[in-house]
Amino acid sequence: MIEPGLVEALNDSINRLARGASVSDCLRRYPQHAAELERLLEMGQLVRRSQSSIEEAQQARERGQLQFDRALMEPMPGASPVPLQRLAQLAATLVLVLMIFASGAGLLAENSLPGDTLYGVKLITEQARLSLNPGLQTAFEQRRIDEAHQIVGLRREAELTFSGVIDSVQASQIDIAGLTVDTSPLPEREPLVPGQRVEVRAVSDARGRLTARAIRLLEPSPQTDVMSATEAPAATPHPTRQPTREPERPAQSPTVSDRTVDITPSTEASGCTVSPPDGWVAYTVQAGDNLSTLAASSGGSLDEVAAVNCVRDTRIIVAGQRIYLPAQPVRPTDRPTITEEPLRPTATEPPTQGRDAGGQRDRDEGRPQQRREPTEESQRDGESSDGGRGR
Amino acid sequence: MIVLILPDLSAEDDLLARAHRGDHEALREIYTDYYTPIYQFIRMRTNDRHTAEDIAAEVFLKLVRAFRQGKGPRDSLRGWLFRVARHEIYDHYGRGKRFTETVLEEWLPMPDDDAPEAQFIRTMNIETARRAVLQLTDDQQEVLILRFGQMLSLQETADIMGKQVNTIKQLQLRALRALERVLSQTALEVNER
Repeated sequence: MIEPGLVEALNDSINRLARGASVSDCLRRYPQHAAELERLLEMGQLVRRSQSSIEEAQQARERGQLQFDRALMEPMPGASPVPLQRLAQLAATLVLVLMIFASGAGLLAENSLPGDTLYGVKLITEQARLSLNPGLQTAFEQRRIDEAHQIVGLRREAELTFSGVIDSVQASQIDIAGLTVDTSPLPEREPLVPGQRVEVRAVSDARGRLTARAIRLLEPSPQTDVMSATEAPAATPHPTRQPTREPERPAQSPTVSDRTVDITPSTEASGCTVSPPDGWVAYTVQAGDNLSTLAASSGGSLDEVAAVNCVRDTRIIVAGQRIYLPAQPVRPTDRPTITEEPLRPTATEPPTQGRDAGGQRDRDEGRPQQRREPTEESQRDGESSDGGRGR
Repeated sequence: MIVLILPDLSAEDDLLARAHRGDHEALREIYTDYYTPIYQFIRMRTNDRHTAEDIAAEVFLKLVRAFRQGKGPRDSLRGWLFRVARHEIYDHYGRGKRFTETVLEEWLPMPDDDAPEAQFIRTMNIETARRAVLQLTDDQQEVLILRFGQMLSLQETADIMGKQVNTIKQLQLRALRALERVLSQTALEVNER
């Protein structure tokens, strides 16, 4: 039988100890129980003292930081609702978009940049359009890149998020989508490799420099599944620590498109780094292109182009792939006949039109890999419409 | 004296509110501020660092996932975290199983200015104490770790363990007596600090 008096006295004493009282204080309060109370409280103190040290816990925490950050980097909707509610939300968003467009703000927002008041409107509008037409994903990704370029050009301070393929990697920076990102603040991690498609969160400063806050791999790199290697091997001394429970391997995030067939032929083994000489321009391979023709029509030799782009097998280039050429290739109307392209035909619009406006319009659907060239359009486009879409 | 301070309750509510709004930074802060208590709890219960790390990591991952699904804790963050930690331990080991003493623990580093013998005794006590705690039942262990180790309130402890307040009061007395019995079987010097 447990004496009620002691039960209460003990409980009260434990509460007091937690608030900083000493054991003696407690004994003074309950002299009638002092003898046993003292022993009991000493036992309790022993439990507290025998806990692992804060240092040990902190080390453990640091070892787990990387994994936690990674899990966190996936986009997190605030209070993401169940599917049914999601429809309601979508409807609400669409109404909002309509209202915004009606008010003209939507159009104004179109050109806004991260940090602008209307930028949020722009993103909302994109979300709404995206849910109607997922094919716009790539176009919107390109927008993020363009915005980043603009922000950098304007020497504006802003937080940027964009996705793209890594062009080259140096000790403390990477080149991606024509931008240079300082990667030195990032914790130790699997080394990045050209050809990897990543999502970059970065901040720009008033000098136009981009510093990475976080980089997330969007697809496994050509040679290794970086994700499985994980767990900052440097940090953990214990071989037994298994990433078996790797929780949702975030490798394929649903929000960023995995649809892009962005295969970069091996930049691997040779350790070749894609680094175009000055003056070379970026070009997105289209269906029907082949490397020798591109090289010829841009004034380069096949060998040189292959070497610069780390292309080992010149037969293998893929629509949507990004390569560098000495100049923009002379346009399709002048191109020699392409041999084996069943893709060409009817379905999609003639390449010239497709070129413009990173896919604002719905035409883009048929060509998910379509990307917009950075700046060189004006040179090339004989006839077309660089659509009304301003930048 | 090991002093552990959990963030105070208003700070906790603040963090929760921000986390519900999708604030990544809040979640990072939660990880930073709450990792240690959770780790310590798990560590005491499992007596193994690596298991404790794994389980602690799982707890915080579950937190992230929960927020992502709109099911993050509404009322008490600490309550949620400790509850999940409890369950993870049971998932890992099953209930009622005595944890086998796995790896011989390292000796804690000695402070320089103490006499070697005193250090040894103090160190051994901690080890002995830990193992003694592990001789208790699951409930007894938990109540002692939560009430004395983490200094949680009676109500918080009751919520975490899914029991009535009165039950906890009885339990803590029984647990302490049981611990005393276990320890009295070994030669023990309790050094008051």
